[in-house]
Amino acid sequence: MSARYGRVVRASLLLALPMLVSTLSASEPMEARDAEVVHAWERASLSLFKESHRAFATHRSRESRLGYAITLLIQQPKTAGNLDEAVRILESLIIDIPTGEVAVVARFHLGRVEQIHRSPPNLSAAAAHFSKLVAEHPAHPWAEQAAIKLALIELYAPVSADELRTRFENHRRAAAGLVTASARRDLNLLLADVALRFGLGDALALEHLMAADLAGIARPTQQARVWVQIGELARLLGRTEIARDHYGKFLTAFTRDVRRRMVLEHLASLPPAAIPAP
Amino acid sequence: MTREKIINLIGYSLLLGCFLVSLFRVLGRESDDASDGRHVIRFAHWQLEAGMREALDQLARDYEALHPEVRVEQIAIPERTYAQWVRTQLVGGTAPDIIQLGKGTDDEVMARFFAPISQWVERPNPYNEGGPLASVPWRATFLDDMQGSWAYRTNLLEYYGVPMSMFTIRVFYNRDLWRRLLGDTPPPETFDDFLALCHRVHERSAELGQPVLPVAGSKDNGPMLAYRLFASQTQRLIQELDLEHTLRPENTDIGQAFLHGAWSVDSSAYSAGLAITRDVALQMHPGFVQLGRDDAAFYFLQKRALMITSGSWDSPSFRAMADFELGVFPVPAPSREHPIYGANVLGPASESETGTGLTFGIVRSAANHARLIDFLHFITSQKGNATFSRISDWLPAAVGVVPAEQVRPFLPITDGFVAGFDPTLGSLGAGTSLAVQRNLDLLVGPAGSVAAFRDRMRDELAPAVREDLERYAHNTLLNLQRQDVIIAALSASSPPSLDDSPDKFSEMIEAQNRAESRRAWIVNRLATDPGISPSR
Repeated sequence: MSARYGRVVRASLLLALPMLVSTLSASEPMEARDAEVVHAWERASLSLFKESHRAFATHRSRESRLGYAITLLIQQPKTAGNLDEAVRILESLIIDIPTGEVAVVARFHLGRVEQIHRSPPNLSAAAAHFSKLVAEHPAHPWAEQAAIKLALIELYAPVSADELRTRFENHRRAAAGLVTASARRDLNLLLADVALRFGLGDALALEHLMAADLAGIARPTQQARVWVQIGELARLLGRTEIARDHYGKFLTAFTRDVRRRMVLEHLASLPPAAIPAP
Repeated sequence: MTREKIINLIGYSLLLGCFLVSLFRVLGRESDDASDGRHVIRFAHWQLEAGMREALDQLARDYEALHPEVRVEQIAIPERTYAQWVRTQLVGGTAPDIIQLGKGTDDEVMARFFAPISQWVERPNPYNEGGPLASVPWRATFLDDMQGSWAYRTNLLEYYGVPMSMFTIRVFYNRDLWRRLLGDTPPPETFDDFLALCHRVHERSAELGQPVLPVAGSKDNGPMLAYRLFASQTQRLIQELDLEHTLRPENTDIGQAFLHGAWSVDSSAYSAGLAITRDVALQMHPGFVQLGRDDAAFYFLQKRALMITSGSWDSPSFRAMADFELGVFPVPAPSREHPIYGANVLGPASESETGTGLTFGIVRSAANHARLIDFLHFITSQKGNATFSRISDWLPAAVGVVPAEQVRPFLPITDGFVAGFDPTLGSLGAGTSLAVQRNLDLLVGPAGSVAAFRDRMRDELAPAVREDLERYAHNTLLNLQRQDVIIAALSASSPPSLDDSPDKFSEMIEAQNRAESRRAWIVNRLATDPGISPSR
């Protein structure tokens, strides 16, 4: 029976908790509110979007409003009203304090609203937000992510071959200037994708794959893919030492990959390594 | 009292009675838990195959012997109702402590109701102490490094489950019937040997007046054989379509290449794939595409078919139910030297990435996670997994476990090449699969032909592929939207670092940017697709 009483007590506490929170929120110390916001983010990181959205709604700090707007974007049912409200909150966060950390994240998500939430997407509006971030906050991690999202819009747009080459060169220059390792990796991987998919040249693709590899690939499956790509492109381009090196890394690290037999055959087909002079 | 009032009274009484019985059962279960003072671990699964419950029961008893303060109960739920049962138990807060993952457990359910076990996977399994895996991280003690889809959730970037077994596809045969029909003929090593013995079965069964089919087929078992052979014919083609030099193009690449004319239903590889599919389908029951898995098993176990293609999971059940000796051999694909089919072949397909299964996860609301992890450590240790494999006749998932002799034929064939794609383009999507399934009788029926099926596919494949690619782009978009929130949340919890150390944040943005680039490429190509739209 004690277990049943325990449940009744827990249920009563759960019912009373929101009231308790709202009573305290007006006077609670800053640290306590921040801890709850952090908890709300943690819930969002675990895909508990509804719970985190409700938690953000109980606070009025800038960070809570940011969290509220971002989680509002994926609440079900998805409505134009929710999108508009999220945009309004994000814009107000930028207007209130245009240079702070919250404003940078808000600008990034304004771009994402136009890029992946609106139907149909408004890619020029998205590109404008991302360009502004890149220009105003160089070297900021979110601005460097914006550089990747901007490249996605511009490089996959249906444009002429000449225009694509011009855009490609612009983003190559941008990639060289990135300071965040993950952004350097992802923009270089994107440039390699585009070089291969639109036939801009195997040598260009190899260069960007190697730059991405140098920046550090995060996931094992992606690492295997990149090492095979580098090995294959280097073999086709006659850069046998690079091919040998990357085939070797792949064979050492990925002992269960179904491509091993083919990689072994391609490795064996390479001309013998030059013997260094004594 | 009126008649209506009496009926209402009876109704209310019944309702109250049901409520009281339910209450009694729920409270009764709680008192059971406490009756002997032991901590109870409950785990649920849907594996009702012969030997499975016995194997898991043995592990439970072994664990209890080591830990007398614990009682372990297994709950076996029929596969057909498992998904609904799991959802109901999780939402109702009555779920057991440990649940087999894979049915009724998508990413949202995993995140909401299951506890990530990532913090444990890089530490050794204490039950491997004293053995060769003593200092090996738990993750690396599994044959697939815990990369199976239910062990590691790529969208959530967390480990959630530990696997117990792995599965391969083989041809089972009735040894007694084989001897009667084929004498000392050994199991086939080549595709031609296989076809020749199928023809001999037809002849011998006619001579003996005993109708026996060479192969039992169904809509599930038939493709296990036929689609593998089809895939042997697209091995070289898939490498020709490898625009990105990965040696293993994605199925979306195959679909896009089809829409843009890089290959067609008239390509020699596709036609050869259809021809070999028809060759083997004619060895099965006419109209087998209308039959279910149980029908095919019935044919085989009733000795009305000499062979059946199925997964290693069926081996213990077949052994338990068959009153004949079972034999097993791999699907005999054509070699490079085959005069008709060899030109499209690279070599035997590698099974080295065979994923693990029978994966168990911990329910978030369960008490004493440390105890539950300890139990999972025990059942997935080398010794525990060996016990499981020995009793269940299923393949082990732990490194270094030597399976019993009858399980060895199911071990993955690791030396081989990347497989080609099957008629569904590697399960590109529901549209392509349905288009193939809907028309399969035109290919495999006695009155069918390669030309008839190809003519139908000429009209139906392009719209189906396009529909599947559009669906893929849409589903990816939904995932990108979710990932945006997770990335923002991860960043807020620990701001993005500028150093090179890979962490969860870095993995998530890499995964997102990769998926976004692929999606953008698909959308770009669909916009310039010269083919017809699905609506036409």
